[in-house]
Amino acid sequence: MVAPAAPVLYRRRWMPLVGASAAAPGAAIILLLVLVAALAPVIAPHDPNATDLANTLVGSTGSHPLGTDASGRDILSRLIFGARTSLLGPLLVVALSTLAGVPLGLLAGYKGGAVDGLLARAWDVLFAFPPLLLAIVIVATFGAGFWTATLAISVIYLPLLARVVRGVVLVEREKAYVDACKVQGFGGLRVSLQHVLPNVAPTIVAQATLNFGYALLDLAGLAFLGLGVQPPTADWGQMLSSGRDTLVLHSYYEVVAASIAIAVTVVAFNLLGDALSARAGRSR
Amino acid sequence: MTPPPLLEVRSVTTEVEIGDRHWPVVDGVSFTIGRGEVVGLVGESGSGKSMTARTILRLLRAEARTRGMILLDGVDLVSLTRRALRGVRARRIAMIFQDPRAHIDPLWTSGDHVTEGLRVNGGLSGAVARARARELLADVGILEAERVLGAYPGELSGGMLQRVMIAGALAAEPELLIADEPTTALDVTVQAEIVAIFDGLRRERELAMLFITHDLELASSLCDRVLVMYAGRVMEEQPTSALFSAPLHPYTAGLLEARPTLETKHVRLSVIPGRPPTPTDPPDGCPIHPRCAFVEPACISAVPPLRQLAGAAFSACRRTEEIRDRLRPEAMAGRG
Repeated sequence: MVAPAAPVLYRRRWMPLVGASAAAPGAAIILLLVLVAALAPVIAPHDPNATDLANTLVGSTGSHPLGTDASGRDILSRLIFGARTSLLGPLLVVALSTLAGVPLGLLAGYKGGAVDGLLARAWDVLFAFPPLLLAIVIVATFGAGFWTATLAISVIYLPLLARVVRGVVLVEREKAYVDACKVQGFGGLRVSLQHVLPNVAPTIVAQATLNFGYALLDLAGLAFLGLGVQPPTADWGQMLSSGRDTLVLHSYYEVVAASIAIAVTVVAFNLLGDALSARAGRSR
Repeated sequence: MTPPPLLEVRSVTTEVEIGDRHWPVVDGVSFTIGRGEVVGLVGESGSGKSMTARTILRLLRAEARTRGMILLDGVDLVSLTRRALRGVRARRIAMIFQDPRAHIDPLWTSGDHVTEGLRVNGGLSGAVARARARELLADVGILEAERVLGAYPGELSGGMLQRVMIAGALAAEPELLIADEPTTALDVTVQAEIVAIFDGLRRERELAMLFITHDLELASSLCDRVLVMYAGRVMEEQPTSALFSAPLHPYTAGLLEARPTLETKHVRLSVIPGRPPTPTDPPDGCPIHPRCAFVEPACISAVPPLRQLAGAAFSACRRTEEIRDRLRPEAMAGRG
């Protein structure tokens, strides 16, 4: 009566999260980007901050494959080093918004009633502002920089994630196994953390993955406006900003390179996020 | 003097919100379960059997309302604090369900499932709980306990999962087990095995049971007493053998008549005409009257209460005394 033993890979509580074949292209690109960011000092041909005023805005050459920017810095090296802040920012946003959003969403969805109503009003207030405008207000209040920008975007993503979590928890808490847990006298904390949360985890991971891409765009936007990562730190959004000034000089390398890097990364995270969503949808 | 019952359900009504108002799905239900006694609750789908069970353990949606008293050793479960209720659920009353696959967390192994109550409610360590789980699985007839303990629900058959759920329910050594159609989703041979397990449990552990089923044969093979429910109300209650040989209510007689048997050759099974009312559209008077062959005007004007006819015989039919001879299975068959 016991089915043949499943492969070891599947014998995990978090099994719905691994082995998504449709997620492969996205995951491959993301892995590559992470490697590039981690190995930046090794693979970058130049110091990203070394200026060379004799060779500004040069086109593609042997030593500068993507040319140089207005200060003569190597664009390829800045792109490679820029992957660090450009990936770290969204990672922190996703981590912070998940850390705060999951408990709040779980609380609202599982408890319902007055708690849910109160949290819903709080989120309504946050949603009442255009998101990027809210971030700009926060950054303007607390000063521009990588950390304030990251925190500001996290505040925006918190309710987005919390609402998704609340939604899936609302569905999950009606499931029969939740009744079976209650009938054994288990408390709400145990049922929600030990049973409901693991079962909705695939959806949360999928949403967090999608949020990563959007957070990267938003952070790049803030950097572009001069409110995020400050020069001379290499960052893709910041490169868009500095590259914009040189567009009039018909020097397109910096803007194009940064744009492609941002677009490819966001698409990769969307691919992965969509594949994970589809998987999460199938498993419920 | 007879000992007080373990559980006494006293005029319990549960109303749930359907549309914009509350409607009764359990309507003035009363019965008792003694220690070690197995009481059957039979009826069609939607007759309120499961809602009665869920009312006992307060496993209802937040908007549902319950009136009446449910006394467990004299303590009213309806008005119990949530904390005390959790204690009752953890130690005294266990419940198992129809579809074990839906009622066991798919991400937990059977071992985790069976030992969870032991660890959380019983305070046992992991290793002790696991050893206990092995014993419990053996009690419910699982031979390869170790393998099953390590398996996820998706890797086990329905019959095996139902045994795992029963083992989990027994872990707390409850005094009362509520079994809500525990064999309906299983094939017949597995059904027989599960029933044998229940039969063993009541003999060895003196476990009291509320056994809910729509299968009369199953009820007759296991239960000491049987209650017949219809439209949220108890129509008849009798000791099992009496219920089958001498039903007191036309509805029960109709149910018995509608069973297929191996002895007589049926061209067509007899059916009770019509269909059960919905909670939002109850008929006036006796809820069964539109489907009853013995109806007379007085049946429609007032709801007949459940009456005690003799020791353990109750009927909610006004005409029981008058028609009871015509309700016997042999008389019903002759009516044909």
